Order: sequence, then C-alpha cells, then structure tokens
Amino acid sequence: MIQIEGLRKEYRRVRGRATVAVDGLDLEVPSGGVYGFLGPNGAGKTTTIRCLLGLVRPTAGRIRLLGSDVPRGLPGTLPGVGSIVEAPAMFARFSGRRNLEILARLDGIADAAIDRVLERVELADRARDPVRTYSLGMKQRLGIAAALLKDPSVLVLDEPANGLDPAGIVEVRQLLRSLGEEGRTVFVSSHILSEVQQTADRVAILARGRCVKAGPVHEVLASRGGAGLVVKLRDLAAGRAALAAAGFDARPGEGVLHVAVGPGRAEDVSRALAERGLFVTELRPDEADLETVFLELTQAPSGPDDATDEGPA
Amino acid sequence: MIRLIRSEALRLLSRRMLRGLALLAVAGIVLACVIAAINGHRPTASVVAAGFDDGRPRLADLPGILKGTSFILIAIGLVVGASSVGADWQQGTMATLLTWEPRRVRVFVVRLLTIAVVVTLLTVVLLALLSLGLALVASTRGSTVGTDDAWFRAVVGTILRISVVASLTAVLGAAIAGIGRHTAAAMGAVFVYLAVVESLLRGLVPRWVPNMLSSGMVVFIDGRAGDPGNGAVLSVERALATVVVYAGVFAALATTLFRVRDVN
Repeated sequence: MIQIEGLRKEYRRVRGRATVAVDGLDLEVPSGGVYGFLGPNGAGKTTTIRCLLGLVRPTAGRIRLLGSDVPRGLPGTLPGVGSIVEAPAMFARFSGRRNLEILARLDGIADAAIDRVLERVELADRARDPVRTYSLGMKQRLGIAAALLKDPSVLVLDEPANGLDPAGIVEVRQLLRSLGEEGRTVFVSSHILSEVQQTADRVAILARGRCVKAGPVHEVLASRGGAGLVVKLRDLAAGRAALAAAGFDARPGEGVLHVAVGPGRAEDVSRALAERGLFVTELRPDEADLETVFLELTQAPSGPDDATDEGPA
Repeated sequence: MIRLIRSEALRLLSRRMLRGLALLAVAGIVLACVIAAINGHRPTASVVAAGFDDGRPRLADLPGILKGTSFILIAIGLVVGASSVGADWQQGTMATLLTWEPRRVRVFVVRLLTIAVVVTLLTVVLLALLSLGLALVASTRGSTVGTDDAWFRAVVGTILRISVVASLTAVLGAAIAGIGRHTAAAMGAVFVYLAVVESLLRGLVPRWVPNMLSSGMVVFIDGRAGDPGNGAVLSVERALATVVVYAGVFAALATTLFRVRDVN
C-alpha cells in the first residue's frame, strides 16, 4: 500500500551543513489496518509524510503509494488518500462546513458526504461556525472530517490526537480502530505511545531519520527481550541474595528486582523468598510496553553522522 | 479542471476581504453620488441659450471621473490578488489543497485566472454602478449634454480598460504573494516598486520610462497614445503590452517556483 525505499531528505542551508531530516528510510505499510509511525520530535515523521503526499521533494529514494510512484502518480492516487499533515490547516474565518465544501468541490463530492463526515466526527452542530471559534480538538476533528471526505482507502494522519482532551483521544482511538477494521489502511504518526499500542496493528519506530524497528506490535514488544518477573519487597539486597541462592538471576531495578524467569515460575520465586523470611509486596510479569521499547530504541547513542533535525515546520 | 475552478471560485468569493472591499466600494459610490446630488444643479437657461453648459455634475465628464477612480480599483485588485494567495500560505491551507490536487501548475494557473476573472467582474460592476449612479444624479440635478454615442463608447472603453489593468494588477499581486508566500510582502513590494523604484528610475534613466509599469497603466487607462514622462509617445497597444509583460513574467516566475519548491 505504501512503500518507501531509501528515502532521504536534506534541507540545504545557505551556510553550514545541510540538515538531514530523513536519512535512508525504508518502510513497507501493508494494506488494511492501523500502522503506527512513531518517533520523537525531530525524527523525521512529518517530513516523511510530506514526501509521501508530494508536498516535499525527496533528496533521494523512492516512494510508492497505492502502487504508483510519488509524486508522478499522485493525481491518480490522491483521490483515494485522505490526510492530515501536522495541524489541520483550514481557513479560520470560514465555517467548518465551508472549508469542507471548498475541498469537496475539488473531487466533485456531494453535500451529503459533507454532512456524513461532520456527523461522524461530531461537529454537525458547530459546522456553520467560523473555524477560528473552534477549540484545538474541534479543529483536529474537522481535519479528520476533511480526510474522510473522499471516503479514502488510505488515511495518512500526522498526530491526529494532538490537542485533544482525554475523551477526544478515546474517540480518535475508536475512530482509527473502526477505520482500520473497515479495511482501510490507516498510517498514523503519533508520539502518544499508549494510544498507538491500543490502536495499531503494526508500528515503525523512527529515530534520527531512520527506521530502527518495524513490524507487528506484539513482535516489536517481544523483540525487547527481558521478559520475566518484577518483584518488589522491602529489602532488595537480601531478596537478591535469597534469589541467587535459589538459583534465580535477579537484577536490581528502580525499587524492584527483575528476575529472569518466565511468569509461570512466580510461585517458585515467591517461595524462595518466603523461605528466607522475605515477603513480596508486589509480584508481576515484567511486560514491556511500547513506551519502554520506544525509549530504548530512540535514546540509543547516535554515531557522528546520525545528527538529524526535523525539517522546517 | 472545472472542479478546481469551482472550488477556487467558491474560496475566493467566500473571502471576507473581497466582500468587505466590495461593500466599502459600493458605500463609497453611494456617498459620491449623494455628494454630487447635494452639490448638483441644472444648467441655467440663460447660459444654455448662450451655447454653454454650467450644469453640475456633467455626465459628459464621466470618462474622466472613471479614470480618476482607477487607482482605487487597481489598489483593490492588488489587495484581492495578493491576499488570495498570501492567506493560503499564512494559514497553511496550501498544503491541504495540494493533498487534494497535486498538479501544482494547474492549481496556480487556475488560481490566477480565477482572481483575474473575479477582479475584472468586480471592477466592471463597481464602475457600472458608479456610472449609473452619476447618470441618475446628472439627469435629475446636473447636465446630460454631450452624451452621444461617442461618449457611450468612451465610457464603456474606459470601464473595460480600468478593469483589465485592475485584473492584471491582481495577477501581479497574486504572483508576488506566491513568490514571497506572504500578503503584506507582496503589497509592500508593489508599492515600493511603484512609489520608490520607478520614481527614482524616471529621474535617473528617462529612456526606461516607456517600459515602466506605471507608464503602461496610465497610458492604457487613458486610452490615447501619450507621453509617459520622457517626451516619447507610448501607444495604447504598447502600454497594454507593458502591463501584460509585467504581470506575465511574475506569473510565470511564481508558477515555476510553486512547482519546484517544497511546501512545508
């Protein structure tokens, strides 16, 4: 559905070295489902999305969208692609509905479709108000409505939950999930990792302009290793000694011990401690979450050539 | 293409700037007609008997009055053109538009054409309103002496020539706003060029005067070959060509840059 090969984008400066926003990115987004595109600020997510939509000309590399080369094939493919790039840009003095009407005219979309997407993002009752009176979350929802207006098979959404309150974030999560379940391909960049973990089927993690990990969410989580048990007790040193004596490899963490055994041996760990008069206050599986994996991957030290910045906003 | 034109027309006609300027211009026309009516008087019988006409306003002066308003309409054209493109860059909506229609040359050319057509129509309507208003005042409280076919052709010609110049100025403003990606920068650039650069060049390099934008505008709106200020004679055709070349060169440059530059 989306194929990116060796994408590189440099922003040249009048003086000094060029700024490398994306540095040899390879990515393949399969058809259907939600694909999370993760990375810290400046990792190159937005620049990649701009390249994908033909807004920015790559320095090198190849992009294919819906089977066509970008940017040459975009006139044929964009009618099937809905998108938000950074904050949804709309005319602030026009009503939300008028903004959608202007876009709808471009593809000959009927007014009924405008009503439908406004209902879907729950903006129907504010549709005739100027966009400047909208909250950030409402503007974000209007952007999603614009992206849905074409009834697209691919959605490219750059931080769609930006500025939303918790209820709004849940709504966007449900919306993305339902769009993915409808068979659409939802390519969504985000830094709200808990949301992506609950929404995406697959993720790619970007750091310093490169993809450092990609695949199904469960595989990315499993790739971290370190599965085991987390043990919390009052005397960590005594606990570590007791576990070592019982043949367990326990490493100290922040106020806890990480024991390198499967969750099925929790009873053995608990017994080994109890036999030494040590009682656990917490015992749980050492499950990695996306945030942990993300931080480990994106905070890894970079080489001298890896220094990258996000492109101009 | 038709869809893009419809979208551009809807966007341009929805702009408060355009509506506001149009309303302001209509209010100005009404005010001018009221003032003309208050100060107007029918020709004195004895003066007419002597072969003169002291009625005011004189409808025969309408072409000159229309020419007098041309700078306002050219300014309106510049503001509409520059803001129509500049606002898109300042609000970031150009990126949104290009994710719907990625053929950039088509987008920009259609935008320039839409601006040109809308400004032409707006100018024609405003000048026609002014003409009708003054005709009404002149026929009731002024003089209509000398309003023959030649006069009518002069009025229509003046309206059309002013509309053409206003529309080309709008294209010029839009093109410069596209290059600078900013409304105020475009208006400032045109103003500085006309008020400062051309003024300086007039004194420093007189032989360039016939090629100056202001010379072309003045002579073309006047509708008669004339001296642009250096003793030479500038024909109406060449005056039009001068304005067209200025607008065309900047439109081509802006379109080319729009095609190749990143949209961030």
